[in-house]
Amino acid sequence: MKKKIYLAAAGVLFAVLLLGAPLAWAGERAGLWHVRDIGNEKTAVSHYEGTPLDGALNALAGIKGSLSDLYTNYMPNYYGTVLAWGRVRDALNAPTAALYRAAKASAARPAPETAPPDPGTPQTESPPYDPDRVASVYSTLLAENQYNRVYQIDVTFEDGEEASFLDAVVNLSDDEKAARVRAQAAEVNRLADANPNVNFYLLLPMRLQEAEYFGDLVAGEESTYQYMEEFLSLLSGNVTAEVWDVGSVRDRMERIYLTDHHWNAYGSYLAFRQICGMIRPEHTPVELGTPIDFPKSRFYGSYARTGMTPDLWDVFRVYDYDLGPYTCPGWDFESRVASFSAVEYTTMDHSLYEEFFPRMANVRYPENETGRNLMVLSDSYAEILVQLLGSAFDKTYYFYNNTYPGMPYNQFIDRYKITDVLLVEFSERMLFNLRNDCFLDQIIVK
Amino acid sequence: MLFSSVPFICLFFPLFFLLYYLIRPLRAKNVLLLVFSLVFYSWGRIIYLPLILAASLIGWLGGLMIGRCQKASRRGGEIASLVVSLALLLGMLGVFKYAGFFVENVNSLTGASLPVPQIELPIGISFYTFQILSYVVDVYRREVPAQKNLGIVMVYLCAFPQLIAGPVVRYQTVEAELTERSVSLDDVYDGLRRFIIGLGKKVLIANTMAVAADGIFSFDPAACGLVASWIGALAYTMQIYFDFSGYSDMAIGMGRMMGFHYLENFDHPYTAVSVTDFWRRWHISMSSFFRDYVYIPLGGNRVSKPRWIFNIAVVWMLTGLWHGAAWNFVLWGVYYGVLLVLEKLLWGKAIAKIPVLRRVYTLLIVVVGWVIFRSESLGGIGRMLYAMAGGYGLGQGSLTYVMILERAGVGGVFVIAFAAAILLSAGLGRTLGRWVREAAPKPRAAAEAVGCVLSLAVLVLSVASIASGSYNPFIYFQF
Repeated sequence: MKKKIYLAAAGVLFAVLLLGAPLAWAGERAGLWHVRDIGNEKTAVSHYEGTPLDGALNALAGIKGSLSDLYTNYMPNYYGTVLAWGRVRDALNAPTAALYRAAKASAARPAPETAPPDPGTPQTESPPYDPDRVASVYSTLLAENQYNRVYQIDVTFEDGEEASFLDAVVNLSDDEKAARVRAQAAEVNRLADANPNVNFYLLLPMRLQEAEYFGDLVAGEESTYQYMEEFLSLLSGNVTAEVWDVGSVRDRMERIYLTDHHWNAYGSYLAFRQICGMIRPEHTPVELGTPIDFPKSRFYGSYARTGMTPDLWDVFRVYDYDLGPYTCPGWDFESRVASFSAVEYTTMDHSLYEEFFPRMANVRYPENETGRNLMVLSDSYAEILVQLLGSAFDKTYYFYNNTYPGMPYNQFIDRYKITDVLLVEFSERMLFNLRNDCFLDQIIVK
Repeated sequence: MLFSSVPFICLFFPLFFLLYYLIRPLRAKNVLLLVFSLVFYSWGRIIYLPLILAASLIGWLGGLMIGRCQKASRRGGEIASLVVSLALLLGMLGVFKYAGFFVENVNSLTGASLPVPQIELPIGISFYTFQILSYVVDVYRREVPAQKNLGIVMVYLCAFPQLIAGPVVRYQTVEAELTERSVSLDDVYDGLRRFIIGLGKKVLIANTMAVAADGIFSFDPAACGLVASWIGALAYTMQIYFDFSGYSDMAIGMGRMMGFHYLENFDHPYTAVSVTDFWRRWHISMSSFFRDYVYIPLGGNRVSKPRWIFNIAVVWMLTGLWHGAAWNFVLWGVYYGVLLVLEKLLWGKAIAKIPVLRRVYTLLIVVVGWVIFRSESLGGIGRMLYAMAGGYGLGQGSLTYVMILERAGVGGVFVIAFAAAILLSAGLGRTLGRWVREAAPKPRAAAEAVGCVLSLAVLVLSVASIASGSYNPFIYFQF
């Protein structure tokens, strides 16, 4: 009898596993319910080329990938299971994590003594990171995959303020980093040298890892500052390049979401001003707008999802700018604010940044008479920026990086009378093309 | 497809057994098993499917030819059929597993620059080649009759439970069950419990150990120093045992659920009292294959001492090479060959008399062996062993061993899994089982009920762990 009960219980569990995913998927397709999507990568499938059975083999590989994705992402209570497993893991690891912290604290190196300034030496600007302001730093590795290592960084400032945020390092060897930087610089140069009739600008949004002091923050990791410097040094004379500086640790927390890789609304405004200064120094940029917060919602970013840290989030904030009349198909700021205010987003299966800001293909300020049209080549970093950036130009066209493949670059420039091209990409992509999704190499310049 | 993956646990396993128990005739069950096994094999890389089909065909034809020659008393034809079959099967293994290694070494020895074949290792090729070899040789030795039905040979060779990670099931073990078997409630119950034990060993223990071992072995041994290098070596020692024995448990369990009775592959090897004893308990199906098909045909130990040493050397070189086409595997094989000879000739009897020391001695040899096995270069082996001997102190460089352990995920979960690994590998499960068997009826029934609940808990935890392991969020969300 006991054996039958045992087999029945196990049978029920396996039946749920077998049928739950397809039923959940079918129900969602029929509009009966919504299954949370926590953004898993698609299963990598083999691609066959050069065999007589390519078509059939690729079809089978596609079916295999679809089944894997179906049974993973629609597994009954997948989100809850992953979250609960992460919580249990963290709880079990908490005592050893405390031991590690204590051990690292006791082994911390004393801060180097600062030499008194030489009166004969001209005073230079102080470095962005002032070690005196940060009393202590702990970093904890949360997750590692083939691309990144994600850390939680806990800082205590000298004024006693404590703060935590998440950040990531690129998981590449030094040789690979150097090779990728060279390849990326060559691609930027190829583009910049392709059309002498436009001005070519590049804004490189730094990550924390590009800060020179990064090695002091996360023990055992190294700054990628030198790679950024090398990249900039390799750019041709046709590229006007600037770095959007992450600044000090406190600056980073003000400019970039605590749990995400994107700059936040304030950080993007700083970028806007910097771009205006670079491309149109004669233009007076619009002032920082009125902040609008969505306190009922929690903004969990990409690092939160990767590291599974439900206790760390941002209050999502946007700014209402005093912009002149403009047109942007599919974008209505007021209605977007209203719809977001009505909903409580409290789970990790949302990225409020990308849900709030759509990919605005073009922005037009009809009252502007600048004689300048801007082409923006960017990733999601420009989503928050484009309508603002458009205020300094007559027309602004935004090309998302997954539209690069096959793009006839010079034809676009001619057709839309582009005067300025701006390239803005997350440094992880711009410098290292970490996920091979930069696609600059696939823009056609002939 | 891996047993510990979402597609297997959620789709393949339940669907297969649902259909297997729904259909009645054994012939239909065998067809179902073959179809599912081919899908299982193709899941990884479908282009290697023809290889296993070719191996089945070669083995089947070879067996038939040998059988016919035996009936016609044509000794020459019998030997020729055997030689051709073995040459084809070993040739296939040689090309797909060893060609790159061979050419690389020819190039480095002669200074030539022959193009090195870049061949991806077909999954399971070492296991299924050995299985079909054993069939052909057993037919030649007249230990089993030649199988006329190609389908039966394919079911034997391709059956998914033992297809990619063993045990090496010999044809004679399952010959009768291939054509006549039944499944009782006890078979399903025992088989499922065994499968879940294996799943838990693999998912909850081996995978946890793997994170730590992979993490520590990825650092320079000089940075790891004494503490981290030992933790890495011990983690790998547990990883490989629980991974491999977990797979064997799952295979044996699933076989049982279908009415097959595969032989045991592990017998608490870390409780061994000598190196010889260890190899009686570790990967038994492979050890017995080498014993029966290489060592004994070479003369075994009933030969002169130099010849016996030669036989041992051949067997252990091959054992090392079977595990992989790299010099560290060869070294690992030679290491055990030398130790077995020395144990037999010099210190074996003396060690056997010291109860605690003999276990410590064996375990130390095994751990060092796994370092050789795991390291990616000969230099790496030396550095890791030097670190374990304290040569680098507590570690050198800017990364302290504390940081390395933290980075390698040596935390509370690791400690719990490691403690469980020690208890289980020391035979706690066996002791509890014996206690339940010897207990009076009532405690026995209660203990069995507890065992059922624990088994279901392990299943739920394993599924949760697999689900969590499948979580790989796209960092650029909604790209």
